[in-house]
Amino acid sequence: MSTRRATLANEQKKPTTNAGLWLDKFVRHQAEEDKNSRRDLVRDVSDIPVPEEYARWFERWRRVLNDYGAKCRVAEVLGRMAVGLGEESVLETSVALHHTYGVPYIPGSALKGLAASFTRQYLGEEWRPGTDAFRIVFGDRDNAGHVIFFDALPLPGSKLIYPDVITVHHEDYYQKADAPPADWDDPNPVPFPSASGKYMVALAGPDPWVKAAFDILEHALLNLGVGAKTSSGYGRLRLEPDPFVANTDREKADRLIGQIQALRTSEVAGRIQAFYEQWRKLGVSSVHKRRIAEAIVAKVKEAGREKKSLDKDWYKELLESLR
Amino acid sequence: MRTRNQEYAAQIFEQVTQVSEEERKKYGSLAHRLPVLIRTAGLAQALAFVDARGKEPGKRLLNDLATVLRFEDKDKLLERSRQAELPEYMCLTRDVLGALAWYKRFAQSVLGVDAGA
Amino acid sequence: MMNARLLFVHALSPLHAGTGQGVGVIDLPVAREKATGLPYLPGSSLKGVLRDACEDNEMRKKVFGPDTSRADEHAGSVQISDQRILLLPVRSLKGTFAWVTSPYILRRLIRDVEYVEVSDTPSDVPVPASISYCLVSDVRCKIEENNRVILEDLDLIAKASNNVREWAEWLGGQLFPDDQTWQEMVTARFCVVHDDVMSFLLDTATEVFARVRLHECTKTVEEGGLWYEEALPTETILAGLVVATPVKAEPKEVFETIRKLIEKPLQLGGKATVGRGLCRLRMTGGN
Repeated sequence: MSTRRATLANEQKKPTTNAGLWLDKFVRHQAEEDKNSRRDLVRDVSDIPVPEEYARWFERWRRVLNDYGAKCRVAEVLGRMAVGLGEESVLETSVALHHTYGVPYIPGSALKGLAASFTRQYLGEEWRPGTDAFRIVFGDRDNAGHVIFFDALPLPGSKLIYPDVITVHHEDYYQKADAPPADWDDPNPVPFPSASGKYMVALAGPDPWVKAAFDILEHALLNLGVGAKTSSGYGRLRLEPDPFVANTDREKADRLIGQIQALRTSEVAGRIQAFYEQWRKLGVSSVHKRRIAEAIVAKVKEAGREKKSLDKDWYKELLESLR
Repeated sequence: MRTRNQEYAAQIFEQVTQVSEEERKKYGSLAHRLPVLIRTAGLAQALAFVDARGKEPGKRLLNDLATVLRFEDKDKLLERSRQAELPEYMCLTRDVLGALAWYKRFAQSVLGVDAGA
Repeated sequence: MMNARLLFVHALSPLHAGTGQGVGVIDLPVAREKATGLPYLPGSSLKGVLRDACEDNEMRKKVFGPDTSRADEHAGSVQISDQRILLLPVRSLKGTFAWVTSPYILRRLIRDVEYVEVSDTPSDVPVPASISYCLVSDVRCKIEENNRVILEDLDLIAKASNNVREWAEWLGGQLFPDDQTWQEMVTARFCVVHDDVMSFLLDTATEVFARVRLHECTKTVEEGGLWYEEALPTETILAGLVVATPVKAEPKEVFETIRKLIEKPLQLGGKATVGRGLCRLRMTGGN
């Protein structure tokens, strides 16, 4: 039996099904113990290709943003991203899918929230909430900010959604405050869709403030991450350099090394692998590639995680490159 | 619909005042979440979801809803939501949403549970 | 014949059109007409955006009237009607989404068209035989399979209609002139449902965003920090009229000014800072 409407019980997903619709309304069965239903649902959603028409729409979107005077920069997900977890959904965990086209995206509100949060936590005096700078970019209770954070939509062409699982340990511990966690609790894998790919971040407003907001986002996306599960390394994106600004290999490497060195010990476990991903993809000369690899290895050692990392493929690859 | 809606109010108020101390938080929070869940998941799936995951307070809310909408119990309401053909399905959805507006209101005023709690 | 033009608003991001009263489920719903419940963007709000976009001081005063502080000097020469829902994009089991409308909405459009020098609209309005039917184009339809159209979790009986195709082609021409691909996209997805189904979709199938405000330290939701906002989804099409009432500017000047102002996209409706309401406008009729 299915918990769908009887008339829809036997519907299969089609190549042109709206992925968000399928995710929201077409799970076969809601019962918690029916793990297969949710696993199949997530697999179905990841198998639905990006609609053909999306590429056409995206071209229009890019043109309209440009005509509006927005500035666009591409951000690439390092690993996976799970924005939108926590909204009302039968899956309890889900990913934000574009209402009309069903592709994953990063809501403008999430980008704005992330940038504001980074600003409050890490920027100095001149960016404190209440300062003009903060007010101009983010606004306050009485006035809207002057910078528009548009939804970041994916560049067409690649696979974007992947099946993923969250493993919830110690379920009882979270549900009954009086039961201490015990080792014999089974890990409980919960399937959910996560996203990857390249997204077009678009901001509009007065030039210097848009530039500042991009700088903030660049650091926040890489270091804090957007969406859910950021403590497990999800939601890290590398903002590609402004295409109009020349960028030497040394600058690219320096920037990355600076970020690696700035990691706190407690952050290393969750985030160092994302830097490896970047290192792997970064097209810079071998001298600079080596410098970055050294910085990552040094950070791993500094955090006392060398022993734990030695059997990891990515770590081996880094060491290999330094031979 | 509007007048029927007001008929609901008295009955729903009565039901909500009966919710026990230990169930009030979950019951109230579900009353806030269910209407939006119905929009996202559709009536049939949203009700089934609360039935499957909402524990006792969820079942209580569904039974209360069923009573107000003159079903024998929640299982009959759920069954109807799956079996109903299109015109009835749309009516049933509107009726449930209409009733839930009251549950939501009383969750706030009677149970003291706000959205997001 | 009035000096009027037809205006179309094409939403490229979710459009928080006006703010209605928060009754029931949604804290910040979009504005709806009292009598019909149909969502709309208030004409006054669109006029305000156009006025702000007009950089030529002289022309701004002539067309839109003097600034509010000196509003008694003379009236503006342009009136903009409310922009009412014409096509709602609804998620579809086949073809990704459908552009949905209903007989009532098309009849109102025809009434608007009568004010405008446009004569080529299809003369009949397609009417589904009952609440269970969905009329689709008789060629190139992409949303139907096995005689069914499934919108959200609603199963409708698909019925191919020549009249629906005529409408799709007419609308495609108005909205996307010189762009055959997009015109075909309209034909592939355009459909006409019963007014009751339309009203149900407009009440339950618009876009809803859960917005949260988190405590900076604890990352938990602040008290009162969860609210729901409604928006008309990307690809929504609204329609209305621009009417020239010559006070200081001639109709020709009015329409020429508006035409120039809508060459660029405009931001309409609320919640601009999170990217809502980026719209493309098209004005048709006259010549």
